[in-house]
Amino acid sequence: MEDSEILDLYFARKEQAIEETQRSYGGYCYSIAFHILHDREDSDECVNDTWLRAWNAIPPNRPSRFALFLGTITRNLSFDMWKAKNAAKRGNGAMDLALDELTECVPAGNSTEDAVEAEELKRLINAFLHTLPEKECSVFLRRYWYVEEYAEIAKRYQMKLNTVKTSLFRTRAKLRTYLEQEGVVL
Amino acid sequence: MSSHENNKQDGALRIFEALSGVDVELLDKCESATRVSEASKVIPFWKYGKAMVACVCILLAGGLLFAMPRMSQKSASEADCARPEYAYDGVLDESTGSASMQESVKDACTEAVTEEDFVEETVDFDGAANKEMMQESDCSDGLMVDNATGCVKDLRVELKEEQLRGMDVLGEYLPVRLPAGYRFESASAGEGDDTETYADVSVLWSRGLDDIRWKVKRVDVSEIVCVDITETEKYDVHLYEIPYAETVPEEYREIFDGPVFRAGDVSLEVIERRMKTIRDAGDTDTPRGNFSVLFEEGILVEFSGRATAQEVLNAFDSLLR
Repeated sequence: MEDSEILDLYFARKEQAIEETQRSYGGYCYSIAFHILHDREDSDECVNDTWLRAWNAIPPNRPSRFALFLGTITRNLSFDMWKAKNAAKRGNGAMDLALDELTECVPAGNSTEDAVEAEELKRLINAFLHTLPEKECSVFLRRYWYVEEYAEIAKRYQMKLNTVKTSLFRTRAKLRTYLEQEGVVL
Repeated sequence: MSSHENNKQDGALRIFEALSGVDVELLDKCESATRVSEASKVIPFWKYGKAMVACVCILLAGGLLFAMPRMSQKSASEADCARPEYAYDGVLDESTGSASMQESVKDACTEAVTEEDFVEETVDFDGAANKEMMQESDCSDGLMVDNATGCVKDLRVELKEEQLRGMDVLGEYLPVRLPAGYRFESASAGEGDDTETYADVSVLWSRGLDDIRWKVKRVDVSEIVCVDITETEKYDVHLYEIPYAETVPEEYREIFDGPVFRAGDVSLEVIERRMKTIRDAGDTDTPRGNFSVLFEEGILVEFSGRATAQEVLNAFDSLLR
């Protein structure tokens, strides 16, 4: 079923909308959740919560890119659950590794200054991502938005593993430089 | 965990969270990226040929302009198009598309040699390498030009293979075991302050297109800066693409070009990080690399050449010291 037809079901408040969403995007959203949580039950829970959130958001929203709309909800829910479960400890999962890597992007700011606000940080990171070549940006997002493993990214883009690592290493350095130049304090 | 580390982690969490607001357009491009088909991996010969012709023309032009003096200055880790093995970088094996391959090949060939590089090197007369650049014909036989002091005696002494093992101290740091097929080519020694002892000995072995250069020299240990092997970003060639001048961070460049490891730190893993296979048409697949090893008794061994990491380790293990 096309996205427009599924969205029509949401607007008509037909529960079939959930079934069709599950059929079309269940695997996609589960993949996002599992990359972050590495737990089947928790991932299922996040996916189910995603459908509930979508049901509550549509209408009045009518997302132009339904997959990304759902994926973003799943990512946020998964991240919240991950924070709740892992705030006190650091394991060896992909999420921990990704966050460890992102610490390299944290600018060396003056701790006495006010930290940048969330919306401003989003704007800045978007602006930074738009400066990147498309492939480099995609690789970065695959790693830190989708939390994909290096091997998955390498396979997806037909790249060597070390090339993926090098690309991410350089992009993280660029992001740090960009945030420092913008005077960002985190 | 320190407060600094906590701040870093909090910062990472904020960045991760902020990525949730990334533009849909960027995610769209990410989603729509498709795997390049198996067919496109096979680069048509005529496209490959064009890149080769372009590179050869540029090489010839560069060679005519800059010729021998410049080639002696280039380090093994730079994409020097005067050396054919660096004419192409690793992207030849990636399906990034023929257009980008051509661009990267041209970039690798054109950016290694510039007018500015030539000017800088010709005005810098310090260092033994510069002595090799001088016009030998300006001095009488047996003498070489030192721009600061005029013609001086060539201080290197040519050695035969049978003389190497008998050398006091330095000979103990020459490998007994070499990779199969390698044969002695040449050796020389540099005179030290005491004319009866050599300051260094340099040996070249070769095996067809492969060679190994091994130099042993006396050093002041306090003047040598060794790499911390845990800081792999400073020496791991697999983290960066050729040309290294463009990919290696500026702060690591000097170390990256010639890292020095403590003798106790040398392991198969460390050596593997310095050896890299560069696929080039007509050349062998033998990994290549360079690094130095500092022995606490004041000896520095400089290795540069082609072998597997295990073979290089075997060579170091075979030292008689």
